[in-house]
Amino acid sequence: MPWLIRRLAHAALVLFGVSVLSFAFLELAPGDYLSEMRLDPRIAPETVAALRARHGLDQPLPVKYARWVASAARGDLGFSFAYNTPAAPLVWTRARNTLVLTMAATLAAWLIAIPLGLWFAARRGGWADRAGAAGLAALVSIPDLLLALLLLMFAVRTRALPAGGMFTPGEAGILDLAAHMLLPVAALVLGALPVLVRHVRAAVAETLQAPFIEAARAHGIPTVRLLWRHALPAAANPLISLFGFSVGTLLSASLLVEVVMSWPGLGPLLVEAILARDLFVVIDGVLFSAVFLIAGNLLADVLLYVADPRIRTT
Amino acid sequence: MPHEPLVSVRGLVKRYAQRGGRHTVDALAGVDLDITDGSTLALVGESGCGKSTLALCLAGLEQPDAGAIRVDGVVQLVFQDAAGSLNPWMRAVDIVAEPLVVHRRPNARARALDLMEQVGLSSNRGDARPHEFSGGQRQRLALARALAMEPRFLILDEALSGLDLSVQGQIANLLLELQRSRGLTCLFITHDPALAASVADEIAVMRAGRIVGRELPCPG
Repeated sequence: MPWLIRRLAHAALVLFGVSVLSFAFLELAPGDYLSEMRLDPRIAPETVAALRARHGLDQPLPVKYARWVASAARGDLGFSFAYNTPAAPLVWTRARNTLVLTMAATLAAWLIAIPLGLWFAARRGGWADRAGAAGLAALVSIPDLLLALLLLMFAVRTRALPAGGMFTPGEAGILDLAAHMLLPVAALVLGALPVLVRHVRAAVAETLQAPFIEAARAHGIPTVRLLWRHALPAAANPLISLFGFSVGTLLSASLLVEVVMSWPGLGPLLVEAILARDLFVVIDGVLFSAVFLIAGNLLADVLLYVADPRIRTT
Repeated sequence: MPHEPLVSVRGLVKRYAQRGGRHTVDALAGVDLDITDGSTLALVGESGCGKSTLALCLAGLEQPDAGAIRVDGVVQLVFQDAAGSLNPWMRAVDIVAEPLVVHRRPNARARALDLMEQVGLSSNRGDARPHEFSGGQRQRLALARALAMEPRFLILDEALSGLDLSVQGQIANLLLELQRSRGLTCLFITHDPALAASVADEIAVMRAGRIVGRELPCPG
């Protein structure tokens, strides 16, 4: 399938660009993790120099990058100086936690946005539509950070939900995970919902003006079926593209929400790694985020290909 | 033996608000119309005289502001824009079967394929999407969908406009066949008097929201 090969080649090119830029920006930032060690009088300068040489930090940027690419191809994503451990397992565990949170939030946001957008579209121009638009405008004006803090405050005050972390110590069940996810997922969903609902409403409202909807009405198709079976598939193209975009938006938001709600994902790890100048962890974290973003967009492209019969036959 | 009218319209008025909502325009300004059971009435008139509004009111898609409509039996409407009136995301057979599915009629798919054959489309093309058909074939598909609910009254709103002459002729012949075999009563809306004369038993002329005259088509 040449289309898929083209998309994969494009994804590889984006990953190459992200990795080069990550290396370049970190090179531009003054100092690295080992520069801090040099200030410690208990560590001999020779020890620091030996560490620099061992991890290739004394090499110029192109050599450093080429060595990282070669080792990444073997599954070795470098070394975390701060955690004194190989970076790959560390970053992968955190990336997996971020993935769990982002996927749950994406699913929940769309499962709420689609029926709500359809409902508003069916009542376009009416009081419910206008009240909904006002409510969504109010919600979109609240920054994600404030939303997360408000929810955290609610959890702390009411003690109804765990106020941080991923599991209660000693418990690792799915229900415990779900209880811990509720708050960060709610913060992410509330942040994403206004944009998604407005797009679903706009796309479906436009489709409801189409002649084939009028024709379907003329043939006695009831409103609910008209909305779900006729209007929604026809309005799906821009929404599927938005789905890919929403994965990226929710991923970015999740990095912030994770820090606020102590979710052990890529967000807190990246903040720690950037502050500690833990080179390989930063690069790997950024790359994992880029992979999720690319995967989201690729999934949207595949869904678009499956959903629109005209794309498949042209 | 004179036939009873299947469709009877009395004093039909439909007003639309103009931009800003302060003024209204009468799209229908008191329409009186009877259509005899089993006949085809052509409705001719210039653009904007209210023909399509009358069609929408008869099909129940617009609520009139005043007047009364009586139709004995199911009404179905075939639109001018066949390409636009068919859902581009659905397969041909599903488009035809949709009204049957919604009204819980048995064997909807088989009946839809049979209807496709009746309007001159191969049932092998049931899985094709509307954009894979020509303009004339799309209009046949729209006709098959309209026939699915076994209507007694069929409204064709400029259904042959936009088709080339030979296709127009083919569809007009198909309509006449279907009308005779199914005993359909048809309202054939067009702005083309020659086309009206070729398909109709009688022609009504509409102007400024009113029926201003009825005449028999000139032979030939």
